[in-house]
Amino acid sequence: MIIKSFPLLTIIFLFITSFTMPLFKKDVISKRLSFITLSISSVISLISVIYIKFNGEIYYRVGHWDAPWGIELHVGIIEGIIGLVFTSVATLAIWYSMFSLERSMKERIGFYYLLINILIGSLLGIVYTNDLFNAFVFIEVSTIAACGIVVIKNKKENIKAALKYLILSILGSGLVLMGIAFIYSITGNLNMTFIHNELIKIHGQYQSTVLITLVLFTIGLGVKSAMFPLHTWLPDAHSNSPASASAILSGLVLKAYVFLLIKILFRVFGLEIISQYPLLDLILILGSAGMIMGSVLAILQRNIKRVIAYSSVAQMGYIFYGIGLGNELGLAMAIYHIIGHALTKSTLFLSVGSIIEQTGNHKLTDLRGVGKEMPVTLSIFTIGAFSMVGIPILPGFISKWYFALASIEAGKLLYLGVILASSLLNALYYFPIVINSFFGEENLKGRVYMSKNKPLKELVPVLVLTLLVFLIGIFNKGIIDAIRLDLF
Amino acid sequence: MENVLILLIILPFVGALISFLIGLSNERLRDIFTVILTACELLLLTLIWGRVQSGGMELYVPDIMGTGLYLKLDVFRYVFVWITSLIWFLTTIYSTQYILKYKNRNRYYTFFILTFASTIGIFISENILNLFTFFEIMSITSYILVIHDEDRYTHEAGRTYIGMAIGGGLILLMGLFLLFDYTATLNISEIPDAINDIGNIKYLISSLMIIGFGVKASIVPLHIWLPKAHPAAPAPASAVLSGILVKTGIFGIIITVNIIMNGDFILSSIIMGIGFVNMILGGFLALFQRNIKRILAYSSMSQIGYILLGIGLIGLLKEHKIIAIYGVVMHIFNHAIFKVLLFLVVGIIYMIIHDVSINVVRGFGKHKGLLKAVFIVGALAIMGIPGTNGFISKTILHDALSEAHHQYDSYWFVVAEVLFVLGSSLTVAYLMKIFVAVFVDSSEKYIGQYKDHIRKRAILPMVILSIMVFYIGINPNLVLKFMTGIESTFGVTSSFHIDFYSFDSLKSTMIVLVIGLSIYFGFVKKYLLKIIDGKKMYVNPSLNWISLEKDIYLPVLKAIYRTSSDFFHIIDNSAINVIKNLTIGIKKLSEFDFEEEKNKKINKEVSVGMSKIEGIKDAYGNIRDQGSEKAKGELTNFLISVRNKMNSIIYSIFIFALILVIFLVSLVLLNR
Repeated sequence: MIIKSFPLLTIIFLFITSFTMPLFKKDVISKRLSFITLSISSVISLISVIYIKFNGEIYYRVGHWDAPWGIELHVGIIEGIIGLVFTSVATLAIWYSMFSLERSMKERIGFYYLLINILIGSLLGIVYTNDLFNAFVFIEVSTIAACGIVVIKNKKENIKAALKYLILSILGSGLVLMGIAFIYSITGNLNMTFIHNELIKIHGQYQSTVLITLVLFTIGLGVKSAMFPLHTWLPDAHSNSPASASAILSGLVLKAYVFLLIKILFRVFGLEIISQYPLLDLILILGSAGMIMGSVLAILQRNIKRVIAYSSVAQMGYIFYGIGLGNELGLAMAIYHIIGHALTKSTLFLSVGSIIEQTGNHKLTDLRGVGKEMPVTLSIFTIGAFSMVGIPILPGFISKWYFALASIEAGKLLYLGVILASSLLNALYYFPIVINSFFGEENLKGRVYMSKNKPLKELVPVLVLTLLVFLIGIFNKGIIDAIRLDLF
Repeated sequence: MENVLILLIILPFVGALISFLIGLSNERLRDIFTVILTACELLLLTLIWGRVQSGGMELYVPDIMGTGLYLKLDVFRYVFVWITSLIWFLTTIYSTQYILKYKNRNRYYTFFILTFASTIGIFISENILNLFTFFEIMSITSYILVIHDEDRYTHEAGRTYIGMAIGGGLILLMGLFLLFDYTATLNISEIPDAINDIGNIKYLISSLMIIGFGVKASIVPLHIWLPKAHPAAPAPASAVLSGILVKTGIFGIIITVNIIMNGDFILSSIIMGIGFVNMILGGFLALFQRNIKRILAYSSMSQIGYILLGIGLIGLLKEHKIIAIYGVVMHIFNHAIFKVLLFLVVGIIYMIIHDVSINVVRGFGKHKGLLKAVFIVGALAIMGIPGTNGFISKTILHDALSEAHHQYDSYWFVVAEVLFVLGSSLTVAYLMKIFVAVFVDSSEKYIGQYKDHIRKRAILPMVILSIMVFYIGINPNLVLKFMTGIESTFGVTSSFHIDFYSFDSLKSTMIVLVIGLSIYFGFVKKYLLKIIDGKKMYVNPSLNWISLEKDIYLPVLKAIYRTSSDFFHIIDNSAINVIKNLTIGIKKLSEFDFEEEKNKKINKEVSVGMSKIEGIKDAYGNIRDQGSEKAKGELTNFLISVRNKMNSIIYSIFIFALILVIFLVSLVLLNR
């Protein structure tokens, strides 16, 4: 079946097209090429999700070698949905940037789209692959591409942020590589399924090795996905890049690493092995700390993009919280939150991007009354903010609700307080932005209604994203059930 | 065929909106449209009579109104729905004349029909939450009818009406919440089985429900809106308010007491007691009133007393309850007919002279033959004179009371018989008061016929109702046949037979008449008719009596409001103070002076060494002040510098290493 090769096809397709871009002299062509390839990949991802839904998961061997020797891709319904979300969010972000990128930077436009294609291809690789070393290669590719995107504006603060991101990422990658080396030395395999079978038999003899490997993977991937005290690179990197890049970095890149961590913890090692160590409790504590501290730090910020960047730290905290609960519902909700947050956060970054683009202000105090000038954009921002705070039917609420149920199920009632406090803190920095923009006589004085509104055709991608946010919230039952069925 | 049920509701709901749209451009067309709409509804209902008789219908529409819409039409409900649409049909015809000179006609028709739709909804809901929803819609739409005139008095009456309706609705909702919590079902036919096992909480639930429905049914002491709202509303609106809307409350009480609670003895006795209070108090207060509409309003209250008495008897009579069931339903049916008739007569008077105070309209009807005739018909019916429908239902109720007397053999029932007769006598007395004042006394002011004011379409409904009064009075078995099958809703299948025109019932009618006339001549004529400024005027001493609303309800509500607002103030203030102090505390903390300690030490040493040298000490004091000012805000600065350092690359790597070490160490330690 040709459909079985679709996941590999998207990755290869994106890589190949990206390297053809420098051949064209005009930026417009690479811009369109990037958009077209990404939309084709999202259609392909949709087809493979539908195929998986009816025919079950795909195991696809690359290069005619069977599993322990050759590289293998494994795409179940979860991987399929995440791949679909990644490609479609990237498509919409690129659609948005087609109109606006030139306004924030003058050169390297073609290069930017090249990097985006490589980045999305490698992220899909991380999600789909069933081979640890292959995953490491994709991690490296995506890290370099992401650093390139951060530095693309070529300003002082971009270089600083990119250096910080690069150094910390490389440290993380080093730990992951060490982890893989340990694993290989005790099991002799790189294929996740085979490692798991092997580990079940031998983990008793290698307790300390297994433990150290677990820590190496957790910290290594944790630093890349902004686990709480290791998040220091994130606000600089995300707030200084162009809006569409921030959306992709914050919405997708973080999620790929955390999903790989989930795969390693629960598929390579398995709940049976990791539950012997207090590792999940540590992840739970750090996740809770992230939920609280991310929001606290966001409150202290003056720059709106930094506020949203710190909010990502808090939201990643939720995902780690779900992993740390260690039960089925918590894990399913962590994956649902990956999807929901990918959509919501990119909506937020894109709407804020257009506000900054139109008004030229990025300070919170200067954004007062902007709701009168750009009501549509700010309404979209408001919907995203509502989702973050947890207003019903939006995905943020669904996640919080089920996270609460999962913590009750796990018997960790104290952590309910963390969810509540975090919601309150979210409201504390999102609501003032919304309220000050829409209301207040002194804020609205002298503002002209719809004066700075973006043309509707430029807003279409953001509107589509908002619609997707609603759909994810409304059809949560089906998605969560599908995730739970396919859980490891 | 079952879809007719949803059509019954949708037809008037949609019709109300269409009539509004038509009315924007053409008022005449709208009048015709609303008449045809109500006629269609009546026709539709009449057509499905056979189907209902042979087994009833049920319809479940999922996914709307929260729990899904569950409708049911059996004979018991059918009687309510049929009389509702008949009355609405007639009052709509009447409205086309009555409302002609008013403002806001379009609004009136829209809400008149919306009220109709929601009333139908109440009667055919099987799910009690659907019933509640329609009940609330009805309260709000009928509020618009009550305040139609929008003057000072109607707004005050409307305030009382809507306030009590909402309060009652909330109490009812509380009851329904508890009911669902304990029985886990909302379908009326499933509740009786479920409620048996929940213990004494069922009395709380049913009391809450009775209070909620009782506000609409105007049971004492929840009746205070009734005498205010009726005079305020336009005549056709007060006619349906009294004829039908009050019956929705009664319907709810029947559902609660006789179906859900299965005729519980305690509850039935209480309802019967309230019935007597309603009957006597309503009749007694009606004697004093001077506004004809208010007399009729109190009269409604008194008639509701009869119905409540019947409801109580259904519970008390147990297996013989069929007679009481027919008595109740029959009286509801008949009361709707004659009370609407009377209100329409009063409406005619109001249409001509824009006043219904008995002192103003005295002698108005002396020469108006047709008006006098229809009023007499209505009055005879409500008094229960043989040959009218009022006689039929009162006789059945009286028979039920005798049956209960026979069954229980308690001397309380002797008192009950006396009260029954007294209630009927009061009815005779207050109607005599209206009749004599309006139609017998002569007055020079009103000699003309005013025929040009009144069209035939206003007279027609009254004529139809009058004919019905006599027709039912003479052929009671026809109506009984029409109602055959209502007992199945209450789970009995026996039959009964009454000889209506027996000597006993005729005798008791005579007794009632004699007592009633003696009350009229002995009390009303003597004490309420005074000569003021050379004219005979009716007075109302009851105005100075204690008023439930002004002297009890409002002060109690005010006191509750005051105390609760004070209480919440305390909570509010303490919360604000806690946060205020917390903020101040944090601010103090952030301004915490690091150097203070050091300074103090130096200070001590210096002051020990140099305490004797005054001048130097002063100089040092100045220096110290400057120093502490500099140190102010030290903690904040410290935190900012920490944050900045945290953000730098080197510190990030330190943190990275630290976390790695902590993870490894803690895992290794915890693992041992």
